[in-house]
Amino acid sequence: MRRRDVIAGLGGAAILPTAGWSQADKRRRLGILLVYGAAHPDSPVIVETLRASLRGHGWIWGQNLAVDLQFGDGDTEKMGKQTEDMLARQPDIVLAQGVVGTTVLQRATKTTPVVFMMLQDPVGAGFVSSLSHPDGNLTGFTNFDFSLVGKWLQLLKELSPETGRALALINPDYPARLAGYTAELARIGPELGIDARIAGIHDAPEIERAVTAFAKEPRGGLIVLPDAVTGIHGPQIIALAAAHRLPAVYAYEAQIRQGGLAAYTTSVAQEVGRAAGYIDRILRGASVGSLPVQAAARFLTVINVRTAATLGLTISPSLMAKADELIE
Amino acid sequence: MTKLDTPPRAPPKQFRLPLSGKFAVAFVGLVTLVLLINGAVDLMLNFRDAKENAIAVQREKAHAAAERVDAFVSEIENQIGWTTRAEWRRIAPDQQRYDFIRLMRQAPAITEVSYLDPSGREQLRVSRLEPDVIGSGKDFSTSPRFTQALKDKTWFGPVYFRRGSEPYMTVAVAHAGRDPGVTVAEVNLKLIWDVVSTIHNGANGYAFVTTATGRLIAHPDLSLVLRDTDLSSLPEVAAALPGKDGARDYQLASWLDGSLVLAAHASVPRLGWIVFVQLPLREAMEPLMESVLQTLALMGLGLLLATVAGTFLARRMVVPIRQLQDGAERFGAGDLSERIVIRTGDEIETLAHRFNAMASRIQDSYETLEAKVEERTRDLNQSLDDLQKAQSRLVQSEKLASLGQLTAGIAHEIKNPLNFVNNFAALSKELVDELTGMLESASLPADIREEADEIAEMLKNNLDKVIQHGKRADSIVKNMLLHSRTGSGEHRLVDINALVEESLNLAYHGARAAKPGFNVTLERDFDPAAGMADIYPQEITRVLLNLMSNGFYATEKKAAAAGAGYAPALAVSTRDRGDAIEIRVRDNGTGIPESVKAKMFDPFFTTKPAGEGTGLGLSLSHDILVKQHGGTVDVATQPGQFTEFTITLPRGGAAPAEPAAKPVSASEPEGQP
Repeated sequence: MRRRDVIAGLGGAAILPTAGWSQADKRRRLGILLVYGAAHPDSPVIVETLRASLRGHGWIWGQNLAVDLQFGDGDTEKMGKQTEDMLARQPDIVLAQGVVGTTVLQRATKTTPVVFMMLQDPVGAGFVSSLSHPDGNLTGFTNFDFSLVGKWLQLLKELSPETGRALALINPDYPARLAGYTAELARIGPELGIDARIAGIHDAPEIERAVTAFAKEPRGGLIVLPDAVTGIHGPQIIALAAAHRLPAVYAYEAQIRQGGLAAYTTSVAQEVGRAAGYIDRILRGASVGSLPVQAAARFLTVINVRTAATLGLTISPSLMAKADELIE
Repeated sequence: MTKLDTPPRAPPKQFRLPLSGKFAVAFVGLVTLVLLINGAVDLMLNFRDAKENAIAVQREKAHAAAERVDAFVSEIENQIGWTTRAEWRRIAPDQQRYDFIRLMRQAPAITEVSYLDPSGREQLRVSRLEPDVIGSGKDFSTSPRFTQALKDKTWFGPVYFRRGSEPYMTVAVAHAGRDPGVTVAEVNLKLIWDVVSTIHNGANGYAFVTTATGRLIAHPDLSLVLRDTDLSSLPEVAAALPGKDGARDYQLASWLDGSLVLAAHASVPRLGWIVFVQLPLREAMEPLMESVLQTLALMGLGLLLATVAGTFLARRMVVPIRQLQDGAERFGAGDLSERIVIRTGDEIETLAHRFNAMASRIQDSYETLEAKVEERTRDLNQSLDDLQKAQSRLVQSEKLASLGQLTAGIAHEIKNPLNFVNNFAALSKELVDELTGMLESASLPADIREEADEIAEMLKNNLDKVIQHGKRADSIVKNMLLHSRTGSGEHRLVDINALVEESLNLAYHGARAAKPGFNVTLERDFDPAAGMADIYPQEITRVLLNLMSNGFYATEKKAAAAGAGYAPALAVSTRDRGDAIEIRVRDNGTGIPESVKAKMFDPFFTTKPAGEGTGLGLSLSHDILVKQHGGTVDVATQPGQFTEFTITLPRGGAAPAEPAAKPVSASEPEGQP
């Protein structure tokens, strides 16, 4: 018995150093490239949801999962740099938010698995070959379809029935997306009796210029399309909308909490949770190309009642019935 | 006791299982066999039970899952139901839209719902993805969603996939009442996931749903569904597809990743879907594995116990047997002193006792035997000695007998002429007297007369001497005859002094006759009061002759050794001792050594050279004196100086004594010429 202990001890001693190495080896690295800044209200939601979900799958940040979290602040150049640095650290997988981060990553690597989220039409953008079979190193989750422009326009019309003009704000640098939204706006706008057009914006001044110019004429409303620029400059857009008494419809709930009027949106936390599921499966060896792109199935109507009141809008019963959340 | 043969040693190469081993092997083997049979039967029964159980459980789960999937669809149908009231089409469009919005809030799976009026035109459409449309007037009057719904009340469309990925199904429910419209809902089947993922089947089992063509609709792994997975090639699915009615509703099959699963299925008839539940075979068979493990563990435990018990019992049994064996070996080697000590209280102890008893008996027998052998050897030696003595005595007796006969014959022959000599000498003497008388009367010259008288006197004297010596010779012959008689004759009163004198004379003359140069001084000291005694005179004469001749022999031997200056002497004396008479015979010869003294009365003991003595003399003398006459004989001696025998004879000692054997010799001649 004693001899066996000694031998086991020797064996253990011999194994310990290698065990230490293998543990270091086993530690996986996750890169997170967020388009938002750290100050964006959704950033902690995303990070904490991710942390909790991954923990649920057995991945503990800082222990068996090294996390490389980067906030892009909507700055494409900065995100390019961040991506380079991140990839230099050889992550096992990268989570990319939105079309900006996904595009940067797609350009930077053809091998590192990338899970994207909070973007639209990955097929059209060329991220994946098809939703069911991505067949590349990218897969992920879409939150909206271009067709949702119709819902946003309708929501705007329902909130403020006299609306006849709509300005959709979006970063125009991604042609497929721009084309998609443009086509949908052109198709649906007339059906709803709204003259909708797109304003390409990159920064605060452009936003101010576009909104101020648009607000000069009456019966207007804003469609704040889901985008890095609109996300980063959410407070400014909300302030401008308030200043010009423009009803505005947003794509994210966070903006309603910041004072935006209403949103038809999906649950960010749910999407992040699902993305965590894919991260887990890929870390455990699933092939990225065989994981289908998943689209959101549940949509929420969120209305800020106070903003509505400020704008002097009354909310119809059918709209009230639709609303999943009313923010006072 | 001779040493027992050591048991033949087996050749060392041959393997010999010790008794304990055999016992242990038999014991453990038996237990193992029983356990194995028990285990095998147990396993067989368990396997069948477990399999049937597992299949029954899976079948039940499949039906339950099918019911839940059916319930999911029924729920949607029910939700739609409250927009299908007969009066619903008459309410305001806003209200209708409101109802649809409520419906969609209630049923998250419904992505889009629309109302077709009785003519089949779309009057209202509310969607989660598209703007709501009122009164589009699209014509669906020939579409199955309208016609079939009117016909069957409810119509479930085929499953279709949006963007090639998400499964959808159209559900159309006809309104109540006359001339009804139809509510059509597009149902996102992705949300069956909520149902399917909550169907738990063991720890790792799950349920999934396919269309009638095998296309996957719902699976806990949503990505499989979205990946447009066709399972019709899977054997379990292929077997369940319509048209394979004969197939069993369960199957052992391999899943996409190759793992073996136990799958069961049930169909949802009104949708044409098939719900599968499957469980990894390993898990399904877990109860079996558990029972196998249990059985094996029990078997192992049983074996262990059997081994321990077998070894213990075998040792318990074999240790005393070994002791017995060692003990038996010790006994076999001749060591009978130790005893086998076994306290098992069973047959082996009894056996050990038997061995011990046997050893004791053997030891006793051994010791007795040795003593007996010794005794017998001694007896045998004694007998041999006796035999030898008897033999020589016989020889001697025979010799003596023949000598006696010879002597008797010679004496007899001599006696006749001697009688003639004596008789004629006496006659001659008388004749001389007569002659002298005659001459007296005759006148003769004086000188002649004187000479004649002188011659006559000389003749008379000569004749007297002849008579005297004749008588002496006669006496010698008589004695010779007496001595030659072996029998003791009659006992009578005898004058002891005369007997002694006669014996002395006989001995002396005998000795002188044997050796002419023999010379000894005879000293006589006879007590006149010795008188008479009642004895066997012949026997006593033999004794005296014997003692005297021994004395002569001793003096002769000493004379031969001492040479001149030595005067051999033999003194014989008699004494009156009242009721007894004492006779002493003393010589100044060589004496008797102490070593001889003790044995000198033993028969056949002699110091004389072979042929000179029989060794019977003193022995016979002793017998005669002591046994026959009730007297004693003692010896006093000093080697080199003297030997004195003292005989004591009771005066009436011979009377009670037994008559001795009859004389064997011929009758004494009566002196007839």
